[in-house]
Amino acid sequence: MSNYKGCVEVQGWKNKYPSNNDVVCHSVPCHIKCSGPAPVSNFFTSYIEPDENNAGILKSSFRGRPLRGQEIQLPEGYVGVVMKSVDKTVTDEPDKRFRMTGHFRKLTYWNWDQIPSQNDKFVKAAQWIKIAHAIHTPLTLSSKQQEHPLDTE
Amino acid sequence: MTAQMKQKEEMKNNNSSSQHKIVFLPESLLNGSIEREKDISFVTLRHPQTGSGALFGFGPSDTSVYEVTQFSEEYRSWFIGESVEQDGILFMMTPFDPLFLLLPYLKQFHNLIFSEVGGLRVFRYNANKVLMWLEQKVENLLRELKRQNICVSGGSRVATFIPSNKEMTPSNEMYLQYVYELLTEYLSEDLGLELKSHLGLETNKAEESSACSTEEPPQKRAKLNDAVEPEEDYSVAVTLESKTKTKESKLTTSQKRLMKADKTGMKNIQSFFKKKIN
Repeated sequence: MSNYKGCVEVQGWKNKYPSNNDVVCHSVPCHIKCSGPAPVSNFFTSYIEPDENNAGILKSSFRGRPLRGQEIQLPEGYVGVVMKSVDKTVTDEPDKRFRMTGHFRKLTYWNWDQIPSQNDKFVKAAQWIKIAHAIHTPLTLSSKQQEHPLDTE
Repeated sequence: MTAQMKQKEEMKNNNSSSQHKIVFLPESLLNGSIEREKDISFVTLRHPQTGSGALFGFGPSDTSVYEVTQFSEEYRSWFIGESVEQDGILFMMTPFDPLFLLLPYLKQFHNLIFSEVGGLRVFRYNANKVLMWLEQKVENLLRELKRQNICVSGGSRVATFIPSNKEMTPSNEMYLQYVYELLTEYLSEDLGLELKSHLGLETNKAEESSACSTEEPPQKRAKLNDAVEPEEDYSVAVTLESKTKTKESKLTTSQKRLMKADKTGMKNIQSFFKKKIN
């Protein structure tokens, strides 16, 4: 196990990225073997159109293959952020720094020729958020004094 | 070329391979940071279930702990604005009850002293109270699962995220079993077993194992050692899903006995509270 340390600079994120400046995010069902700038709007976004057979579903294509997609809203109170790793002077310390470069409240999730459904990962992700809250909301001591697992002396 | 230079070169290459991470996080985490000018920080902490390192985040403005989970698929990438990110992982930061982190230590040492600002408080591990605390968690989870109508037929989180169809009405026993499995992801093995017997789930061991997903060992929580490694493979859900039918028929054969066990389990919970409130 490697120790991991890192942080995200979040200072002033709201001023830098007002809500009308949302980042457009697409989750696409393939592994593209490189990262970096790409003319996404030219070769992808501009070909998106509504699927006339399925309400609320979008269609597009990537490298000649048909895609079906759906806009997904983030759960209430949650925001999606884009973090970019910041170059730091090289040290042996596995300390990573990220800077927020944008945010969004909805994204588009794409499948190959298959309508996104309740079984898709991003829907499950939203469910997980709710379940996590049910598991982890600290219990208040007001209703039942006994429920706190620690005796205080 | 010195080692440092080499490392620098490597870093450069890495940068071209992965640049951005997409994270869902509570907006409240960011709001507090404006005046305080602090960052969200990530650290590896000992996971209460596995004992090995897992990634946790701390907010800038409060002392809340957040668990960092990741959803990944083998074939998935991001388009982010006018760029491509080959790593299609979705990270999520969700609230984490810090007591889950403390329990293994408290249990181990039984008596532990924490110094606090303005005094000294002694915390003592109390097995009964731990179980009662967990019972509250169980109740909260049961409520949430039923509210969301999440199918709980499988044995692991993977399978159970398939929302329920109308034909399948999961029994209370199945809910309880699922809730138990969710919670054991945050509990040491022995505490998990204590909870199991407390909830009355330990009887019917044979049926249980046949009823609840024998294909996968349940709740093997991913260790989030490194933010780059995809470790929770939710694509397993696809294979599990296809087996749901056969599982279902198995379930109905043991349904009656499961229901019985459930009743005793629920009784346990209620009587437990009654006794203790005075």
